Amino acid sequence: MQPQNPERDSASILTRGGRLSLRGRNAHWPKEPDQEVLAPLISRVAAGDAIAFNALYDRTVDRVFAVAWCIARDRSDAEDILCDTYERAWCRAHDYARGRGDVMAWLLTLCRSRAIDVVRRRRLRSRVHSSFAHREGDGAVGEATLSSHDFESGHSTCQLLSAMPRLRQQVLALAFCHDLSHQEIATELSLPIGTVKSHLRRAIAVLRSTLGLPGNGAPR
Amino acid sequence: MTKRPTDSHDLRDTLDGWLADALSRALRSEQLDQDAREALKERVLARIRDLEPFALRRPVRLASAGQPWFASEKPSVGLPARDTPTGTLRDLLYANKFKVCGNENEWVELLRSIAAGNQLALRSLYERTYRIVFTLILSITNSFETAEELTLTVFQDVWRRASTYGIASGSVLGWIMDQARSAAINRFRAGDRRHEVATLHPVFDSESLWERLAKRIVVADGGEALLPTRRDHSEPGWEEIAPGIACKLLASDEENDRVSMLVALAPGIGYPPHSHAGLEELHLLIGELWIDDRKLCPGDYHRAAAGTSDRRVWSETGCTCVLMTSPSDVLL
Repeated sequence: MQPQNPERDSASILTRGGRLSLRGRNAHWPKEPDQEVLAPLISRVAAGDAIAFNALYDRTVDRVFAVAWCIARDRSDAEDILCDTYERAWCRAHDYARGRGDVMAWLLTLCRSRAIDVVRRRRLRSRVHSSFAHREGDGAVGEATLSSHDFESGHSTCQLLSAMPRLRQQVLALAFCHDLSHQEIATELSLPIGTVKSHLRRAIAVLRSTLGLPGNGAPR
Repeated sequence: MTKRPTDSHDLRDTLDGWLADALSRALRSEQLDQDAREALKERVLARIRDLEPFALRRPVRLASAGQPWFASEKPSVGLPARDTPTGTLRDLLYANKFKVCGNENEWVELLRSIAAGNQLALRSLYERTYRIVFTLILSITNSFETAEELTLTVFQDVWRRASTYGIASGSVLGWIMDQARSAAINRFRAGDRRHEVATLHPVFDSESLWERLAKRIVVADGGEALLPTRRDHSEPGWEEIAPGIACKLLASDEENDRVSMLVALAPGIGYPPHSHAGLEELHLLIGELWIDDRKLCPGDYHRAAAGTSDRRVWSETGCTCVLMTSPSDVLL
């Protein structure tokens, strides 16, 4: 892990003031969630417009796939999740069009909850078909930290994360990448549940404020 | 760690789409290349076409709304005159390489196994019909949760009462549809039904619904629940039998001269005028449908006795329905 002095590192990010760019290193990522473009598309999709659906897909597919992959950690599962997500988007577009919020966030939320369903089902199945010890061997829970290997180097979110105390990283990793509940994390790390919650809360608050993410008015 | 906790909702709430996005950008992940992107898009589009065969061709606005074609002297939309099929429905259905997929006997056989307590048979029947059942209930109750709940009830009833099915109850699909319909109507009928979901595909997780169903059955009967298995049933595809008319043949019963199928009409398309060789039953799932002077809305049921005929069957919005009829219907 490069940043030797986490305090200073996170401070330097924060003093840059305002919001950090969410832009990744990959050029094909849309610069920012372009709500102005996506919002009209979604209402056309709701009316059954195939061209709009194509355009929506092209603009959003990379980020949807990234979220699916990060949660499922498996190419073919991620592809299934992606298909489910867009199928749902097609079916529910008219629901969305009436609501409010950000289109990109809505899609990603669809994707995330589908991905979690898939991961849970996979876990459920492996619980029945193989022993507990077996799953530990898969690295399912045991070595759950975000190691530097997992990160795209030089990314702003990544710097933020590595500036966090190791324990907090671990809590976040268990929650996000392994979909453990608060209680499960507490058991896993032998911590009181209150500690887990406050770590998670703080980690999220830092990410939200520094990355300029919308606050609790998060899309459903 | 041995038990699935119930408090997992807190995670879904705190780690929403935005955070998932931010974290996933920071994490090293696989990426899609252009080919993979296009291939996946094709998969998505194919799935959507399977839900609604005409969905991706649906015009954004109807060219001329309001006027049914039969109001004018000459139909402005509908089947071009020279393509108008004649003969019987059978000619149309089984014309050019239309595969005879679902045989009614298979369905009856499934019910027999279910009556004998075979969960796999129930699973197979569920695979074949859950979408239709759910969509019908949804269009009547107008509530997603109620529809899920009632879908479970319907299949649980099928499980319990499979032995009561007799040939006199009509086709298996019709028998199930009747149960779904009365379950939904018994619960309530919503005033304004037109705003709800407009696709054949229920946006719910059929796997987790199956898990719930299997658990309920186990609670009621004892024994062991079957875990979700990969779907073994391959769904028959849509076939466009005439311009703007697609059919998905679910079960054919030559002995009793009966066929159960899904029929989809593209917006503005009319079904050819026909006379009924046997009882015709229709459950409208999506869209609106005119049959002569009656306008059907999603969830409506239409029944026509043998010997009668329908002159004007037409959909302005495009529609999808479950149709159980005789393949010997004569197209006029």
